Order: sequence, then C-alpha cells, then structure tokens
Amino acid sequence: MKITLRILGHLRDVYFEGKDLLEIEADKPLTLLEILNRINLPPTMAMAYLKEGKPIHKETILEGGEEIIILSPLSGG
Amino acid sequence: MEKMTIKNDLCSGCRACELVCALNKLLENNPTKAALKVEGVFPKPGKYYVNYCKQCGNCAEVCPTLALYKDEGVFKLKKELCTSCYLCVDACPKQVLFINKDTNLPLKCDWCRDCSVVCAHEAITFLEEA
Amino acid sequence: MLYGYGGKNLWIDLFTQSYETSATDEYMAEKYLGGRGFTAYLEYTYTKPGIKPLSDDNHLYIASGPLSGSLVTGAGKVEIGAKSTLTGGYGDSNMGGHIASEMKFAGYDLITLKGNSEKPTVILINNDKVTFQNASHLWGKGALESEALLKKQFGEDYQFMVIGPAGENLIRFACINHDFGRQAGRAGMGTLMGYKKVKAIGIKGSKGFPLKDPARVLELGKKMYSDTRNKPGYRYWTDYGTPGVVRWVNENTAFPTKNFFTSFMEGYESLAGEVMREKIVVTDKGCFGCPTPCGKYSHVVLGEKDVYVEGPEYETIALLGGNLLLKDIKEVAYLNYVLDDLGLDTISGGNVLAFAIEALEKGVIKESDIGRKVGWGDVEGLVHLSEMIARKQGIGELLAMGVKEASKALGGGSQDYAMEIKGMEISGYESRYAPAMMLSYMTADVGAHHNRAWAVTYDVQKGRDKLEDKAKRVIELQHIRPLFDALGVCRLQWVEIGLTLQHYAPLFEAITGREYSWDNLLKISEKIWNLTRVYWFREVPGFGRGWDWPPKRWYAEPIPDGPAKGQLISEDKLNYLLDDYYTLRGWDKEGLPSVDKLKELELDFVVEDLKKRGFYQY
Repeated sequence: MKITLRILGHLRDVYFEGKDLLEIEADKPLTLLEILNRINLPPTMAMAYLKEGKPIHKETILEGGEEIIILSPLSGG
Repeated sequence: MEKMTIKNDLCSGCRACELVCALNKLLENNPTKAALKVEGVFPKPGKYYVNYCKQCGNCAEVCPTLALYKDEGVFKLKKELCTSCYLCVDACPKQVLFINKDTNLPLKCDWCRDCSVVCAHEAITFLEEA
Repeated sequence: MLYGYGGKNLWIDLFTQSYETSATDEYMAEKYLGGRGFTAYLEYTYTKPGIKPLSDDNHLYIASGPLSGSLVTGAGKVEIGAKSTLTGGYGDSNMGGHIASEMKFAGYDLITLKGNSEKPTVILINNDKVTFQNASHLWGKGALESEALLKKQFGEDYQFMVIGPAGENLIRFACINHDFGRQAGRAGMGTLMGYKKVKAIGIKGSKGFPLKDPARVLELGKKMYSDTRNKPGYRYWTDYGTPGVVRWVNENTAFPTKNFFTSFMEGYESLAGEVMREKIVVTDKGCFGCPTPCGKYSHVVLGEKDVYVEGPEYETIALLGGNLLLKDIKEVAYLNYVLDDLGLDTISGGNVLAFAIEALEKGVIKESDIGRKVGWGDVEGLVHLSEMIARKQGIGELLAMGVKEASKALGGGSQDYAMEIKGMEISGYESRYAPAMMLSYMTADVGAHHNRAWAVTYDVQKGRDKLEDKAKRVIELQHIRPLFDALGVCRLQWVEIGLTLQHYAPLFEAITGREYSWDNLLKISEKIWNLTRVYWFREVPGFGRGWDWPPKRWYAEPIPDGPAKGQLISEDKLNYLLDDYYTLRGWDKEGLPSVDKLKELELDFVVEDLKKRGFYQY
C-alpha cells in the first residue's frame, strides 16, 4: 500500500530538501503519527494534516491510497 | 447550456467580481461601473447578496430599436443601434443595468464569466442547466 | 501621469473645517511606494519634531498603496500613521477592509487630518467633495452602533472609519473601527482621532484610477485569483482564518497564557479554529479583493447577550482567551465585541486586563479600586473593567495609560509583569522559548507587535535553543512583510498561501508602468525601517538599546510549567541577539543607524537633521 504526502509551505525546505511530494510504502495500515515518525517530522511541526481538505488527528489510521497534505503554519494575523 | 448561478451564502463581499467586470467591459479600474453589485447587510444578520443579470430579457422587450438581442440565451447590446433612451435601465428588475457615463451606453452583462474566475469562494459559478 | 495611484492627496484642516488637494508627489511614490512608506516619510519630514502625541500638531495620515484597489489578491490594506499616543514614538497601524480601495476610487492616495475640531465631527468624503457634519448625536456611542447609524444616515455605500468611547476619552490604546469589525488597532490611532474630535470619516468613490496596461492587469489578475484558489492550503486557510493556528501555537508552547505567566493553556482546543467555525461563525467576511478571507463574522448568544462581531481572530483569541483564561470561544467573542464597540484595541486591551488581574492578585490594586471582584476567566468582571477603562472610571483612568505607564504609577514590582516593549503591549506569542520571535518583538518599529516579523516558525524549525542566524532571519522578515504594507496589499496570499514573486512583479509593472527588481523593493523596505528607527531617536530623549529590552518576566522568570518548563532567554543571550542584529543592520551599540548606512539608503536628509541635533558628534 502507498500513502502520498504533499508538503505545503516552508516545512518543505526545512525538512524535505525542497521536495513537496513523498510516497510512503507500507505493508499494513499506519496511523498518521507512525508515518510522521517515519519521515522524521516532529508531529507538532505542521499546522494541520488534511485528508480530502479536512483536518485529521494524528491517531487517524491510514489504509493506503490516501493523499495527506502537510500544511506549514500560517501566521496568526 | 451553462447558466450563471449565485450562492449568496458563499459570498464574502470582496467585490473582485465588480472590479474584474469593469476591467473586462471597459478596461477601467472602477468597480462602480460593473454590471453586477455586491451588497452586505451588517451588522445584522451579517450576509452578502450579489445582484446580477439573470438574462430575463425584460430589457430587450422594452428596447424600441432592437439594440438588445438574444444570442444563445444571453441578451447582448448592438451599440450602433442604441439611442441611449435607457428604457432598458428602468425595466431591469435587478437594477444591474447601469449607464456608462463615458459612452452613454447601458452596460449589459453578457455572461463573460470573468466574475466567476476571480470568485475563489465559488459564490458565482456557471453550471450546466438542470 | 502616475498610473496605479489615485493621483491626489487630501489635506483636511479641522480648525477651519476646510480642505485642499495636491497632486501625489512623484518622488514619494517612486522612493516610498505608498502606505507605510508614506506614513514613515511624512512622520519624519512633515510632522513637527518634538511635539506631544496628543497635540494639535500631530497629523493623522491615512495612506493607500499602489496596489490597493486593483485586481491583485488582498488589495484592501490601508496604513494609518501618526506619532503614537501609546508609545510617543513612530506609530502606524495597518487595517484591512474597504478604506484603501475606496479612497483610491475617490482619487486619493493620502488623506491627512490636521489640527482639531471644536465639536464632534464626521468628515464625509464623496469623490471631490468634502463636508463636515455634526456628530454630537453619536458622541459617547459605541463604534459598532455608530457605524450602523452612520450608514443609515449617509448611505450604505460610504465606507466608514469610526471610533468608540475609548477614542473619545483619549484612552491611549484606542483603535479605529471599520466595516463592523476591521480595526486599525495598534499604537493609539483611535486616540488621536478622538483628540481631533473626529467621530468618523466616511469615504465614497466612483472615479476609479488609471492603470498603465489594463488589458494585461485583467489577464494577470485573473490568473492570480485562480492560482490562489488552486493552492492546496487555500481551503484550510479560508475555512478557519487566523484561528487555524491556535492548536499549533499551543502545541509549540508559544501561547500567551495568564498575563504571559506561562506558554500553554489547558483546554486550548475549545478555542481552535474548527470549534469556532462550528459554534459561532455565520459568514466569511473579506477585505476588498480578497480571495482568501480570514475574516470570520460571528453571531454569539451568551446568556441574555445576543451580539454580532467580526472575529475573534487569532490575536484576540490569544490575548482575550489564553491571556485572560477565557476558555469558551463564545466568551472570547463576546468580550471581543465589547472591546470593539468601546473602541479598545484587543491586543493592548487583553494585556491591560491581564495586568490588572495579576496586580489585583498581588495586592497592588485593591478590589475596592474596581468595585467588584475580577478574576481569570471571569467574563462579567472583565466586561465591567473594560467599561471602566474606556470611560476612565476609578482605576480605569490609570489603566487607560497602558501597562507601561500604569505599572510605573502603581509600583509594587508591577513593572516586572507589565508586558510591553517601547510602551506597546506584546501581541500573541509567548517568546521565552523562541529567540527569533523575542528579537522580532524587541526590534519591531512600533513596539512589541508581531506583524513585522513572524519568526516563531523559524525558531521551532531551526532550533529553539539556537541563537545563531536568528537576527539575520528577523531582518529578512522585517523587510519582506512590511513591504506589503507599503504596497497597500495583504501579505497573507504571499506569505501563507504560496503566491510567488512571479505573480506580483508583472502585475505591479502592468499597474504602475514602473519596474522594480525584488532587491530594489527590499531596499525601499530597509530604508523605511531605518527611517522609523531614527524617528525614535529624534523624538524620544535617551532612546537606545534599553528601549529594545523586554519586560523582566521574559528574561528572569522561567516558564513555570507545561512542555517548555524552565525556559527563558537570559540577559546575556538577549545581548548576543541584539549585538548580532545591530551589527548586521549597520547600527551602533545603541541601535543608532550609522551615517554610512543612512547614506547607502539615500537618507542623507536624515543625516543632516540628526547632525544638527547633536548626533554623530564622535
């Protein structure tokens, strides 16, 4: 199974050497937190994780085939 | 055919539609010359409304010189036939036919769709008629 | 012809209730762009030096920018500037809404209010015609209530800037309200309007303004809007606006809590953007030309209270929520409404209220001073105290001066927890574990405001213990972000949504016909930054390094609990940050720009002026 991660904003440059697309291969469903551990992104770093445009929790289980958007923090005002 | 559709509850009152309309029709940076108008009702209940042309044809019905004509569901203006009598302006039930003071011609919405292009909130869309 | 500009300046003399116009200065447009560039240049060169902020000579400048009112995303930002009634130094406040665009459609790039009116006045600007209307019937009324009455009286198509009782009563952190919930909140711009006895300014314009290449603006502008909509972050941002960041700020322990006592609020989840959207938001409310409206308009029913309010946005949630321990978004929104209607800045206001509660707890203020008990999370008590401040009743008169002056007068150690820098109360980021953000607050040119350099993400990503490179990043941000305030356009689509220079540069050229490189624009921004800095030196006797210092709580009191427990930035570290910052900027040990730096930035007139005043004698 495969999960696609799309990184938006400055986190791309800080953590992923400018790459905005990562694909994670796994043999079983994973929680979002497990995926973040795998790509070495501290879970509090992003402002939100979106699936189909909606924010999801870090415990959300991903079955494969999803695209998750990792949103860099946007300034408060 | 596709039809201009307004969802007022998605409008956030930014007036980009008015701005782009005047730019498209007159090459002017002046939203007050647009063929549609956004109005807000504040402080209560906090809502926006878009007044726009539904192509009802009332304008064409009253036009004595047949300057307004129907072209694939959209009423358009033949400038050379217009005598600037403004009967069409009075006849418009939505008051979205404005007089352009520079040309003295009525400004008629021709569903060019630019308003929907800049309406990121999709309050203005063109949808296939059901 | 100046393309992209309204073309005229309007000079209003309140003494004689008369006005005149002049052509917009081409030199100013070229060298300072507009907006914040204009307010900085005029405060330095046109406002008389050495005046008291509350005096007849303090002019109020309202400036749009070359991109305001055009088909550019977020083209609705206006800059309002004057010598600050809160800090006594450089003052400006940036506001969204429909003022910048409307004044340009009426033909004006700059509106200047000079002198004072004898009686409460409404200034009505209808294209070329300016009239002065009696406002006695509105004096004393709330800002939101007054705006509704003004629209009824003069017409819905006027855009109004209105003050509340706080501005009338000269509370030092009074704001200007517009469009039922947009504010020029900071630096006391509403206070000066109140001093001038101007209850409101109404503007209506139908003239438009010339573009160099309208067909190209149409083409590029449409692309800019559709590109914005297609950015993947678009949906989240527009759904939740700035409150979308509440969770992140708490998870990263930078949420001002209990008068900046700590950095994380238990139960912050109930203030998050998602909760707010579900519970109280009735519509998105955009500024002129905004495809990504962060404005959320809310309907709040709280007990017998039933109110409409724009917001709360992030800063208000931080300062009225976290900082006062209001844990229900409805309570935060209700207090937001109260402060808006009174005409008090919610950032300074939230600080002052929190300061008062702490002073009460520590016995510096007594319950009898307030007339009732007021505690953390006590919305009724806080509303009561806000009213006292706005109407200068009892202890309210002292608190109305802001935490710096109030703590000076109260003594009893209260200065240690008076959370301000340069006299301006700190906005929504606890920075004891965020050196770049700390430095950003220390060096911001109006006082402790976040919008010049939002550097907290840089701390979180590059290492919160690290001090190296922080000054460099803060300086970069201080040039980029305020540049948008000079252009008269919102920075959020660029900073947050991910539009690029490729969107702005060609549009700027098609609108104005002028070509600037990015480096060129940043140089202008650096020039403005240096100009506001020297303004402080000229206007505030003894100004220097000490004025960039944070309150004692931030360098001597470690964060007491939560995930960042034990953190603080020691005085040694603060000195390291400041030294690094001054050096990189070409400033001396006191933070005074060097003659070379000023000349490099074409600020020769400043060098002459400062030399005459005894600077650079060594």
